[in-house]
Amino acid sequence: MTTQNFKDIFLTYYNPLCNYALSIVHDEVWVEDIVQEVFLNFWNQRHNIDLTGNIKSYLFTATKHQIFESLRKDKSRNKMLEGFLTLSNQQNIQNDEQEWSEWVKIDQVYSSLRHLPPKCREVFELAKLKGLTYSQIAENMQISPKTVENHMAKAFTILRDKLKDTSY
Amino acid sequence: MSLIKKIVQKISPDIHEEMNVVESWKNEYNEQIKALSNLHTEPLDEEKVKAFKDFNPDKAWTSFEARVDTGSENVNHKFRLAPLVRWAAVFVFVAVAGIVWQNYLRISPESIVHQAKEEALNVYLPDKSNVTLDVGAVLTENNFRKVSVTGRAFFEVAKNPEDTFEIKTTHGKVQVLGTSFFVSAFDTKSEVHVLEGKVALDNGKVKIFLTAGQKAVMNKDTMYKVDLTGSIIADWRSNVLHFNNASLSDVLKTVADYFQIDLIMPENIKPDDCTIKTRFVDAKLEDVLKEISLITKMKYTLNQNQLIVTKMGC
Repeated sequence: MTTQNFKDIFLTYYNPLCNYALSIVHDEVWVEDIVQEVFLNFWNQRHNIDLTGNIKSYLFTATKHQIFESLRKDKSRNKMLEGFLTLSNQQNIQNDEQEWSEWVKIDQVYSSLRHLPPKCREVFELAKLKGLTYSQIAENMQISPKTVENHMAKAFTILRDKLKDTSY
Repeated sequence: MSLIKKIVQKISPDIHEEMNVVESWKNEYNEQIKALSNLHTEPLDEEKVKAFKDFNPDKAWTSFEARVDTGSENVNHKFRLAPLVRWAAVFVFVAVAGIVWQNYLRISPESIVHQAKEEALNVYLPDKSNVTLDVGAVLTENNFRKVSVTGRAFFEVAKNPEDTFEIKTTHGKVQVLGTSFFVSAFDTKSEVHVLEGKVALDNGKVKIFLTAGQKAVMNKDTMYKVDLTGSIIADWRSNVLHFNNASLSDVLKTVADYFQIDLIMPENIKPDDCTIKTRFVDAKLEDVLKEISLITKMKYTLNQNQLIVTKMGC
């Protein structure tokens, strides 16, 4: 695995992993430490890991274990550990996979939105993520419904172009 | 697409991995497109969307990179290309370093000064020549194979037919290609005694050549070859004086030079036809003169730094 490969994996999964960890431990600084640790282990083993395997499962499972390890070592967070253990017991592997995919999907949408200009992005987020109608958005942002439509059309064009350019 | 695949597979067998990565990117972007277009049919978990926080992966990568030092990894990867390439690189590096080093010395504006203060000093020059300096002698490295000297020095010059070795004295230049010889450079005169090879002397007006066994004297005005009869070795490095069928006057001159005293020979003394065959090791001036006067019919007086010869003959 080249450094570039590794970097791409890092950039793709950093946000989903942090958000997944955040949903368990609710500590923004701590989750970044955990995820950095996960990637550090991944880096040290990068030559032994099959790139074609399921990297997503590997990284999320590693994050889960890392959270468990961190909670176990830190006695002050014993309550969190209990909560984490009951949560893990309730969830089966199937649910885990679903939750991971969900976080990756949300990040994909968010990261693709980075290509949009600010106004355009705001309209798109309200429409697609918050589920507002065009007229609600127009009211919200003090713009005409026609402008909302234009922004949406522009957003779709930009996103499709950007995404298609990068695949070959 | 398949054509590209074929080409890249020929270039590198490792390309499978790269292809897989590119393929996964492609899938990833397809998933993004799918995620976007499916938003209205498969709405995202509202709780998660609300909770979603951008942790700035680019910034995180920078700090991660600092922890694992990915830079050296890149270099390693390049060097892993092929052992032959690696050795070639090492060779090129050494060659370039050598050229730079040599050129640096050739154009070096700073002179390096060697001085033998209390005992004889061996100086190894960058061109692999070797100079032995007697006590009091000073050698200055002006440039690559260009030195100046005062005092007594013995040179063993590394052979290099394309680059003359040059020694500057107050009275002229000594140019050599690769020999060993003695140089005595003092205020009043400079002497060169060649043991091996050929040496050219140049004082700006005349140029003379010396071969093995020959000796020349340069002073303020002139430069002349001294014809030594027989063979004479006055090696202050090992404190050896060696005379083999040398004429008495040559012997006396050599002894005077060796012990750095003045030799005064009356003009009315006719040239001798004596030859001397002897050898001194670690001898004092008094002992040397005593032995010579025993072998020949020489008479002398030693007055501080003056050797006055009163009679010669066999």
